Amino acid sequence: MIAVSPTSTATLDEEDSNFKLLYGSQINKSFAIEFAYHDYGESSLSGTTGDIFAIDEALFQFIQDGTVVVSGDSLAISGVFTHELTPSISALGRVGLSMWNAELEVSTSNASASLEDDGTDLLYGLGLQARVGSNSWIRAEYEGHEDIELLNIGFITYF
Amino acid sequence: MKFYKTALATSLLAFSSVSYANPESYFGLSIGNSEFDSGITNIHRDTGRRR
Repeated sequence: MIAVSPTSTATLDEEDSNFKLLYGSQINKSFAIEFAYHDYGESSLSGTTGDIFAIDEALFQFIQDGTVVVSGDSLAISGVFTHELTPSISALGRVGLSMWNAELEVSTSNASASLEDDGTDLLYGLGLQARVGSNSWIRAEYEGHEDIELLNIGFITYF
Repeated sequence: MKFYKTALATSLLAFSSVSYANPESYFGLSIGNSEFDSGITNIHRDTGRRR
């Protein structure tokens, strides 16, 4: 994915919120296949005139005050393995593929430009889930995607 | 990359088949924090050298 590196005077914000919508099919008691849409949020770099920054090893310089924003989303499919720790708590692990899309936008007070990148890469994750009803679970999970780490809490419900 | 795309397409086809045949399905939503790994390097404004 597109990498953004700042100068010492530029401001880089690499954290944001994300969300995931998922649909899963339980193959057996301990294995499911999940299909998910991720919105990763965005990372931004703000600089003033003269600041130098690098994108994938190429150097650029702000010739006026401006902002570079990288945003991304993906469609992913993964196998989810669960191991029952207690009747109401399970550990889970996942491995899969993520088809991601990233957009880089550069904007100043009087100009803007953008470019896109995409790819397909491995993803992985580890987490815990707790039963909160006959058909529902709460999940806390870490996921690693290409150049992005996600720490999420959510729920799933069977139908 | 071509391998991954082929694997993804095959996985989606398998997923569709399994979902159709398997009645035990679920949906969900999660939210949280995302952290981008940009490989930060500081660059001197005057010289362009990384430090």
